[in-house]
Amino acid sequence: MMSQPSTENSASKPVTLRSIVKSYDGKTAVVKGIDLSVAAGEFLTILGPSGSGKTSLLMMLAGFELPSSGEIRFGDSDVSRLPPHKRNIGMVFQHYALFPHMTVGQNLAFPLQVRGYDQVEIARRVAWALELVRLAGVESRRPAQLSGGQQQRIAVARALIFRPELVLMDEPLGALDKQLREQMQEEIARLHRDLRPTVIYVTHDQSEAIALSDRVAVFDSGRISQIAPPRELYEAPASAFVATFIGENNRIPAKAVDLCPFARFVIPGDRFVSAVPIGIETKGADCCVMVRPERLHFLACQQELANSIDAVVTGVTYHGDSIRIRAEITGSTTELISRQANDGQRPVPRIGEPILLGWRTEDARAFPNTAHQHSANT
Amino acid sequence: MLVVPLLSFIAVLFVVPIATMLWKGIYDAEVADLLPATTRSLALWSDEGKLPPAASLAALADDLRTLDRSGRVAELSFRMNRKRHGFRDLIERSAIRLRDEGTKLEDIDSRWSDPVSWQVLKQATEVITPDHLLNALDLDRMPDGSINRQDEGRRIYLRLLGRTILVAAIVTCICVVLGYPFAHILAAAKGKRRTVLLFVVLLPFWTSLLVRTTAWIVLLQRQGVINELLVSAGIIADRHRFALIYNFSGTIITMVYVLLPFFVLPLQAVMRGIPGQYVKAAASLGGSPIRVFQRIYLPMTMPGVAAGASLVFILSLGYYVTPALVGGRTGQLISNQIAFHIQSSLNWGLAAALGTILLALVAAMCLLLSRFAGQGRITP
Repeated sequence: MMSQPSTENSASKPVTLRSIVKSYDGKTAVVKGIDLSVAAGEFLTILGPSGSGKTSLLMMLAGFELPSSGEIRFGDSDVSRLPPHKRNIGMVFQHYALFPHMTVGQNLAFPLQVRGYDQVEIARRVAWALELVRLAGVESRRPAQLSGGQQQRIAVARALIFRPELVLMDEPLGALDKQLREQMQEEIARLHRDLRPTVIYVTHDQSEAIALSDRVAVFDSGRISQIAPPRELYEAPASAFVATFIGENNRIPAKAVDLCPFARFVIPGDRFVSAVPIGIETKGADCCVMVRPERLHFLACQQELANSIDAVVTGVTYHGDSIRIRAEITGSTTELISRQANDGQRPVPRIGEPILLGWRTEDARAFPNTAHQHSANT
Repeated sequence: MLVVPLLSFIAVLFVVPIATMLWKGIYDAEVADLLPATTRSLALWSDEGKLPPAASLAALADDLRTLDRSGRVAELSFRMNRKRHGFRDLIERSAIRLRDEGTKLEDIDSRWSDPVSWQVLKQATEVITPDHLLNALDLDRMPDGSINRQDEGRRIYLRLLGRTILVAAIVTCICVVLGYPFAHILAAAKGKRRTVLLFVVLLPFWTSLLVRTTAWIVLLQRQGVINELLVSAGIIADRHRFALIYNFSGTIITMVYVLLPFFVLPLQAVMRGIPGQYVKAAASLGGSPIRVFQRIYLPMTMPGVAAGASLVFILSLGYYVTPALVGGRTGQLISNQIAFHIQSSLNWGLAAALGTILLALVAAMCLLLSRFAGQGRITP
């Protein structure tokens, strides 16, 4: 472990949001009542499509915008009305926002200078921060002389150098290419592990959210759709929106025919299937059954599964490590996607071939249709 | 190939006039043309403190007779008088007396026996001459070739140049102070608001400068709108009306008005190019609004300030119409003097020399500014 600055001026603090509402025109709210508690040292990701209100929430956390109503607390203090520079937040922006007219060292020193640190301490912390992001020696360069990944690491270092109570990250990897993005994910995860700041991370990239976070809050139309650890979010989505937004999912239109003791659904092709019902209260309700492609099996093992349906293969993609097929349910136009690990033993299906697809009941979830329609409109 | 028309346009209308001006500032063949024989003869004489050979005296007598016959003595006497006071009288008297055959120059006036007069004449016949440039800097070349300052009463150009620089500096400073906040508002404005603000800035460009300057006369004069309002509101007494125009302040007020858009437009363009995230980042890192302005926004907008300010400063240095109309006596600038020498006193050589000095000043200014806020210092 590297040595940390001795003057430990602020520990991570919990963040509490209470009924935050934000409306720009006084009529339509972009953020519609958010209640959220983030534990000290937690890494929480706000995940949502554009327009879901996640950026507005971030701007309110940072203090660039004021909530129309509600309360933001850092630890014990209410910061709802505090201007940004008094909030003690480290923020990382998508486009780095390193000051182009300053050297890297001056950029890192800026938050310390405005806090009145002396020269010796500033020099020590700058060296510490550069070592932290493994970029010792670039101090006197200009940001433009660094690569995109290096610039973002400096931006992260600058947000951490004054040991803020809270670190906000606004799509920090959005401007990087895929390989760098993965490297930076590990880097950020390591920094969080080492320094344990409270982090609120905003992104629209679900794989980033799943890889980094302690918990993920999925935003949909100004509300939190579900907040849970990544695994729970993936395995047990609470709504059709979350089920489709996190990872890939097959969506089969269905009607509930029976709910007790076992939930049964009729799907196109007049097939009866079973799934775990989520929020379906009445028989005959329109709903959708969701099965993830990797849990939708084809070929030999279908006999052991609770549900099986006939289909015709309409597309095959050979990925090497896996095989992905697209198939149409017999007697309907509903297409399903199945992805299976390739063990090299089984034959690859061909287009036009009839096939049996099956899933275990606990791998399928049925949601009311309305929830999805609602989110599709936004 | 496609830029040939542009290049020839620039060559004809830009390079040639400037080159001509620079050349005119140091080349003056008027006296040499009027006195061809004398010029040739004096070119060989350099013996200081002695009279030129008799041949030179005879050549001058011949030249004067020739001029007298063609009625051009006045041209020469006028030009020579610029070089040295009293020469008009000397030359005209000599020309009349030379009408009598056999009269010798040294008998007409004792000054022809003074080598100094001949030194002056030799200097005047030199085609390449520093005299105009020296005059433009309030310097005078003595007959013996030494350079002295002009007499107290004749030192006007340096003072005028100083006033021109002062006016340009004041106008630039006022433009910076007035224009910076406005440029910021304009850069931050969006949609309709921006259209309106931009319209306000550009509106003056659609009206003739002359009309706008005249409008200021209506506003600022002793019986003008502003004074009338102040008097009728009882703020000032009738006999204490402000002298706002036909003086230094009139020139300043009107020039600021005319030149303000030239400062605002380049600056707001630079400001618009600065993403809001820098200011946000600085604030989130703990910078108070004042610190953020000092350390982040101001340095990042500096290229725009430099561009706008240098534009205003350079335009101010050569400003002519406005000071001519509203400057009165104390608001005249160097360009008005240049115009005077071209239109009234017909001393084109001096006008060209003044122009050369103005050009040198502008060039020095540009160099200085590019050093200060040079390109490459800020890379977004």
